[in-house]
Amino acid sequence: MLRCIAVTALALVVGVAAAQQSPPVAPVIREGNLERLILDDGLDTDAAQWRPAEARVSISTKQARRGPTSLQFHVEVDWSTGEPQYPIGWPRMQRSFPEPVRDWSGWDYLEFSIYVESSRDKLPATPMGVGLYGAGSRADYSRSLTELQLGKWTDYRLPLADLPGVNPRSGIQFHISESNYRDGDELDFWIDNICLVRYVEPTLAASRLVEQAIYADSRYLLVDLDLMGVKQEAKAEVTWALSRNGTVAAEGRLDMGPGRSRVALPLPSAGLAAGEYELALRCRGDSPAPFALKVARSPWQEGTQ
Amino acid sequence: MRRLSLSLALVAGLIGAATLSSAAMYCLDFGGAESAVQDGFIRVTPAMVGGQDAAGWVDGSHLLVRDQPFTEYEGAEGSKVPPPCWTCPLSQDSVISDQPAELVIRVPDGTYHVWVLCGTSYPYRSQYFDFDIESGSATKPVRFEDSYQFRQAYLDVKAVGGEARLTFRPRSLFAVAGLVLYQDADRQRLLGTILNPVRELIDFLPPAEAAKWKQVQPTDATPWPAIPEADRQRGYVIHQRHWAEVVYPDTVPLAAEMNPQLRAFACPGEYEPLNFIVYPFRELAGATVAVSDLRGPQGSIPASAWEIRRVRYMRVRPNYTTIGQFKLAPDPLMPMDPLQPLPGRTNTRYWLTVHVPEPAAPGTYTGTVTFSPRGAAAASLPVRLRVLPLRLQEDPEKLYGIYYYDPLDEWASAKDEVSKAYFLQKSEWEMADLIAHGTRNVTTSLWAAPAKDDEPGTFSFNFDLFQKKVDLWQRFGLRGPFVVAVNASGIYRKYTGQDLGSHIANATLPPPEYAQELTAMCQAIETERVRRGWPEFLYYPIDEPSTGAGAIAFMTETLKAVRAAGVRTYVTADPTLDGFAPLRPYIDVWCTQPFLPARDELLKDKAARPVDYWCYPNHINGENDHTPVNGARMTYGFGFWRSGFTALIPWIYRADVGDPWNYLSGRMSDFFNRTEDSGRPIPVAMWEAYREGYDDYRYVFTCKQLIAQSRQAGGKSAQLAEEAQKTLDYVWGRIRVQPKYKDQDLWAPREADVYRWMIAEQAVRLEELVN
Repeated sequence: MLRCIAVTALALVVGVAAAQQSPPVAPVIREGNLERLILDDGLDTDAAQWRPAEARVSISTKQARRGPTSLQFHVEVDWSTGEPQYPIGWPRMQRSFPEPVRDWSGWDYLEFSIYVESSRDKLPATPMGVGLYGAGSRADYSRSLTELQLGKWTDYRLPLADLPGVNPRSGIQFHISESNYRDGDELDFWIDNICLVRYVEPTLAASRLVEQAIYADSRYLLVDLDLMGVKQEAKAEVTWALSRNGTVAAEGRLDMGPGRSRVALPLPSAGLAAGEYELALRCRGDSPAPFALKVARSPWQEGTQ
Repeated sequence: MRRLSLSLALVAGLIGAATLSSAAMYCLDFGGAESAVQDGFIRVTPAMVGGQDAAGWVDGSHLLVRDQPFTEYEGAEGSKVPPPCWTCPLSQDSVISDQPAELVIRVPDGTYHVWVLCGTSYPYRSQYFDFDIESGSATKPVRFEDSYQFRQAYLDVKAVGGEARLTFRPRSLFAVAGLVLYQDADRQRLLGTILNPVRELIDFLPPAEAAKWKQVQPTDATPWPAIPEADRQRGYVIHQRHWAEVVYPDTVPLAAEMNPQLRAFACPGEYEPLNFIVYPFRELAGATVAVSDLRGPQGSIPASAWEIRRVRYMRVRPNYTTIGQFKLAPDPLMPMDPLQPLPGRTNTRYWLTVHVPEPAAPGTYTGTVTFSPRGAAAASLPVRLRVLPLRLQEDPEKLYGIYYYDPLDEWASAKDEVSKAYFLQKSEWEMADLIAHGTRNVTTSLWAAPAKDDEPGTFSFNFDLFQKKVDLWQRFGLRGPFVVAVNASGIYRKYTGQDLGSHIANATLPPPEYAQELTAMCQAIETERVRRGWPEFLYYPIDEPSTGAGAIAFMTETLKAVRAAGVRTYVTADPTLDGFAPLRPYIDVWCTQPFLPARDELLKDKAARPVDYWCYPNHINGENDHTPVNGARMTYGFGFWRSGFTALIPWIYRADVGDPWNYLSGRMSDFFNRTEDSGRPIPVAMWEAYREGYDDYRYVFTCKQLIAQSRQAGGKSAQLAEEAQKTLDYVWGRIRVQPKYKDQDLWAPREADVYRWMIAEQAVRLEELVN
């Protein structure tokens, strides 16, 4: 039942929230290998776009991640007020985006930063949540912000490739569930630098080793490559090298298109020696730090226990 | 409420168009004089007499007509729920009897095929339908459990002297909705216009409704790798992905995954899964899969040690009550049917489980698995199985349990001996299945109505039935404490006249008499438990209370009342929610969905006071998602080890709502293990993942035990023990701790295998020294 109520709460209208006049759309900013489109920078004009419920939203200079101000989302947990049916409710703030920035298809990430203070000495396991809206009145993506900590900025970078493929994006909502708090708790969330980000040069942004430990006789090593900064239909060269104590055990090159793909890097047919390895991936723009790989003796090789 | 008459008319129309235009098909719809008749079918009532009417019974006096249409959603718009099954005029009414009944159909002489639609939409509980359809010397057995599901039977009948005769001979009851007599020339038309529409209605939805449901299917855009010429010639690709990876109909293999070698390591007595996937370029008419004996250095592992199943895709909802959306997801591991076709351009996955014989000597065993399709060349894959010189041990401090609907309850309420025997056998098979998957505990209940006013403190429990359950648990090796639900809500209703509502949303502070009677009820149970020497019970008065003020006040009094009986309480609630803080002094066992509180906090609390923490990880049971197989393994193994929790007890071993083979019907989705018509369990992939997680933890525990033994032995053993400890610490440090291991940020399945092996290797070294 609680789940149903939560969904209902999150379904509260965002799409029609454009009651205030939209502020001018910010220009795209170049920062090194990145381009950034600010959706909300915690300015006066931004604050006017938010529709809080069971909470207050204002501009604050007390905390800021970018520029001199941020949005302050103030909540006084009250288990007896709110919507008549759900006195233990969901204080929230929500806004819609202006039409010109609703098409997120050309962007790689959604970023935002949050700072928290509270009358509590510790945050609950699920202190806050965020929801993103497409055409409908229900969030088609929601995520608990479990990483938040008291007295610290937490920077979020959500790969848009991991989100449901909904486009355009009409709005965003931040919320808490009062059932996660004590009656009377006070909370302040400073939210800043809500923006879309993309790479300019070919960059292996969020690539990862699928398996951080393999058998010595594995035929291949799986990696997820997340190649950004490459135009559709274009390719970029990615080189890789697997080393142990500075000695290359296997290497190769790949021609990769943009986006995420799983690749099986071929390993020597004679197998690898057991031990600690590093996999380095390189492309023209930024490259990730080398990945550590554990190679264990294989149960099916001669001489293992 | 919205009517579906249009869609059902469409089904009816499709069927009618065929039957009316085909003189060689004789279509009978069984029912009463008033019940609906499928267009183009002839109504056959119990009163119609064989030999006189076009079709009728030799003696219809024992036939019962059961008519239950399901043509609409239930509930109001906005909260509407699908019915337990969808019906058309043909399937909504059936004739049912516990006596044999002979049907006579007047047709020209000749041989006919017969298609029979068996089953009933009328609610029958604790009923096993078991009957034969006889035609001359041919007999077709039909068996299925309860209502809402239908079976199709095929047989031939010979008409002589202008009559075809069929006998329905029940061992318990028979239930038949209709039948069609047809000849070869009409087979395709029958398929297209009757059988397929009926099958879609039963397995899916009425056509107009189906058009509204959206298939939200993950798609794999990976380009296909180059296909080896030999595979192209053969007509199919064989590839492999770890069993814990979800493979959809369109999952594209990597080149490195094609034509694999299947390999595993395991200990004597252990079950270990392997799999391979076939992707035919066009439909294959069926296939067999056979594993050879595996030869090892000191003997062999026979082919009989393998169980081979085929993964079935089901239409699943994205959440258990969601309607309007579905996707095809791999779910039950079906028994092999060599005649079942493999659709073209679709992955068909075969799931092979080896149960390593207890006496198997250590060493590497090799053999082959052969896939033999009808009408195409066979393919063999090498199999390599390493048997370790190790006996896996169970941690007596940990408990693997599961919520459970006990077939013995249906055994108790079944009305005929055949049904009783079925539920008894089902219970035995399920118990064996639980044990084989590491499960050692189930939830149960001891229900009784509140005491009558003139008999305070007197409750009517069926303790003898409970004794039968305890006997079975003990025979199979289940162990306590057992969670026992008690009827607190009934007592509340007695004293307040109110229902508690969902998650006790309507609860208020109850009168003192409520608490007194609840204490008396628990005392009555506890007295009998002690008298009969049953294991300890954890008393479970309410499921998933909310944190509302009324709920907390009610729960406080409830838990105090249970405790007053001198027993321990069990509450399904998240202890990290501040709203539950007032209940903390009265809860002996918290059972919570995530692994929360975190390990250190949990252990600190356990050290400070007599409290325990259990986990019911429903996120890996299928009610929300049928696919987090890898998360299930992590939850059950390394995640459980890292959590500090004592027990795992997810909801539920088998959840059947309406037709158990249509997950889109019913007020919520069906999920987790399925049942063969014989009563044998059919596992789902997640259930197998539970066992692999259980085994992961057994490797950890066995290694820990051997470390302790080796340290005591001293010398080289002690040195190796420190190495083994380092390996355990390494793996411990690799765990990406999460409250819920589901599908994000998990170890890749092959990586988890490596960690298991690293621990196993250390255990083997210690084992060789100390034992």
